[in-house]
Amino acid sequence: MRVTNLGLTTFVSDNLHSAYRRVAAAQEQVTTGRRINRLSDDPVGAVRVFGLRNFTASLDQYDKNINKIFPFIKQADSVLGQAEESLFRAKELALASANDSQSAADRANTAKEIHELRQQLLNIANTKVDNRYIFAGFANDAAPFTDGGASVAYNGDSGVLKIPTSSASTVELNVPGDVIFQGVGLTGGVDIFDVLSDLETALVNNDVNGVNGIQTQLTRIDNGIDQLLGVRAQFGSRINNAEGAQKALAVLQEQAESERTQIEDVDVLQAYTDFVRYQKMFEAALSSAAQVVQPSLLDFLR
Amino acid sequence: MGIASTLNLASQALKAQQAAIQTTGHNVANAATPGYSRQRVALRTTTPAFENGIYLGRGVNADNVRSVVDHFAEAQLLDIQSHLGSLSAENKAIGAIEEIFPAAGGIDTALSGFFNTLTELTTNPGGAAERTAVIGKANSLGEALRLTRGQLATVQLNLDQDLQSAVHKVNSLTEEIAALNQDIAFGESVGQPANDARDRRQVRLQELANLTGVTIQEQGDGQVTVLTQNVLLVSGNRAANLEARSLSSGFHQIEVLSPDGMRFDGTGLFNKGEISGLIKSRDVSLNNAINQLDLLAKAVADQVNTQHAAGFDQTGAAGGVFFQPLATVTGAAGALQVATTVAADPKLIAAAATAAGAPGDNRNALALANLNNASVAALGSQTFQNYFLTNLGGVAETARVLDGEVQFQTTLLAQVQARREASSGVSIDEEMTNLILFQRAFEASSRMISTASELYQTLIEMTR
Repeated sequence: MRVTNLGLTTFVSDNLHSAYRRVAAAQEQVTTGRRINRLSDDPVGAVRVFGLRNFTASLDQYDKNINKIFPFIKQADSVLGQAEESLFRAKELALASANDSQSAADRANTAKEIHELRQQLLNIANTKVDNRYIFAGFANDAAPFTDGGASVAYNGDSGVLKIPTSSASTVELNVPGDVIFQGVGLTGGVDIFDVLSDLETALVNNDVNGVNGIQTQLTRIDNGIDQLLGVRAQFGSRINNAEGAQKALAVLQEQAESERTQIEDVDVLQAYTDFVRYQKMFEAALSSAAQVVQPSLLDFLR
Repeated sequence: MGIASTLNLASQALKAQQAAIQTTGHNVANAATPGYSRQRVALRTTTPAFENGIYLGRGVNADNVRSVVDHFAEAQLLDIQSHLGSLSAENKAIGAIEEIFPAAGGIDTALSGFFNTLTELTTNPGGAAERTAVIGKANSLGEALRLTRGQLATVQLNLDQDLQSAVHKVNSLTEEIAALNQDIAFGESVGQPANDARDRRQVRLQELANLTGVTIQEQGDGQVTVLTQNVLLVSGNRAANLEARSLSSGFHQIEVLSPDGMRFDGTGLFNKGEISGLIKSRDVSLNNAINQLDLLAKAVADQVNTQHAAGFDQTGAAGGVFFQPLATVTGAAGALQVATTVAADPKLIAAAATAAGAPGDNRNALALANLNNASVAALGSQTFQNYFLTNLGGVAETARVLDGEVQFQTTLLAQVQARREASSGVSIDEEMTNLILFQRAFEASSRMISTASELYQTLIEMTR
């Protein structure tokens, strides 16, 4: 094969180009730290990375949601704790009043305190967090309980807010107030407000052992305490669920991140070794090119 | 036969060597000219004289000057150029599409951002901040789609402009080839090859092949007939004239005025070379990319609006439209935006599933957020996100394949060009060696003349 000057020059410059391209590509990988710098570098990997990025963003969102659940449930739980305290106090008073040593006047005095406790419970049931009535179901823009004297009316609804904690699962945020305080839909549920006003009536009537007497109300107070405890246990298990969900999210996050790293990131050592190797190859190509293009017969014709 | 004959022989030889030296000079001068084929003087012994019973050589004649051409390599080059032309054009277009869908932040991020704010809304359906965030992200999604679609449309327009300038280039090339055809036919009518004109024509044919792909038929008089897919581009000294005629779509079609006087729309007839690559990219790749965006935008608007209408807003009224309704798929990606009523009053976002539950109900917000994971029939039963990513993957894969093909054809081109250079290229060392040979022969021949002159002298002195 004849080797001609133009042919050789083209050949040499083509080779220098491709050697330099390799150096540039290796350099890009070293500086960006990424194996995929254009979609076409690895179409399947690139699309997977996109998917993972969006997946991670949605995990972040779920995590944020869960973080919003905690304060709400904790607040509701502590408020119900106060309600429980009030009921315990009512129980104490009722127990004391059931004692034969108590006079009708004593019982009438106690009746006033029971009335106060009932008022306190009503305020608790109308608790607001973040300008929302937390025991009103969906109708959280108005006070859910109004005192009708003998009994308390519930103006809220039975809505339960479900907060997504993953693409497939939700955690329930609230329990409607009529369930908590009036035992609606619960077997053996009692209306706590009714119990307290009945107790008040029994005290005023100085009725200890009658059908609606203090003794009867004592049993109903116990039922009411159990009812509150049940709801608080429910809140506790929701917190557990949410914590579990958060842990699961963290694991998913970690997996997604490690998969992304595996697809997208370069092995730094390998990338740097490649870069040095291509650079050496390029230098060798340059120096050999300088030697091969230079000499001609003209140099030796004198 | 006498001394005169010797003198004649020497002067013929001088002329022949002079021609060879001149040609060597021509070769060296064109050592770097692209497409130049080295030339050789065909030296031939003249017919010997029969004298006194012997054949007596009568020296040398320069018959003609021929270039050394590897016809096979030249034909291959035309073929490779036509492939390379279309592949490069397609690769350029798909590369642009690939760059428009930016690797960091884009439509997919905007989509997940929008649905994430809806998820956030479920935690506080009555919250003004949450509602405003939903509208903000919905507008970012519309903006991302609009921006991307606009950039794709710009690429499409650029391709159309490239097509117009390619058409102009074809016209000037075919005219040049027709003119060279005429020169060659005229030059070769005296029986001598028109080497330089042929080299120039070959270079132009390669450029033309890159633009349209060519089929070549050489005629007896040295002229070539050039066709591309049965469209006659050059016939003898007449060239076709292409015209980029604008269509109602704003793009251009190629109207051919053939050398034989026919006029027709040739847009579909170009299926090789840069022109075909440009047309294919403009009418297929870019159209697909834009159409897919439109489909996505329309599907998002329809799905979200349907679910939104099923709910109730914060005032307890039935949900209206969330996005401005899109009537057609075409142009949808450029028109996706939050309905002005909702944008003006975030309370109109229908987060509740029932009118009664209005202030605190999050069930419709949850249903809206879940649309992100729902498969959509209009998108081939894929989720919004997957539909977008699948199409993106398709573009990336095409870009990768085209990149490989362009590299392959480029390598092939370099190899065949090297082969062409190996036979037709100028080697300066070789020319120098030849130069020494021709120079020595020239010197020796001039020596012949002085020897002949001395012979005359001897004869003249003899008769004195």
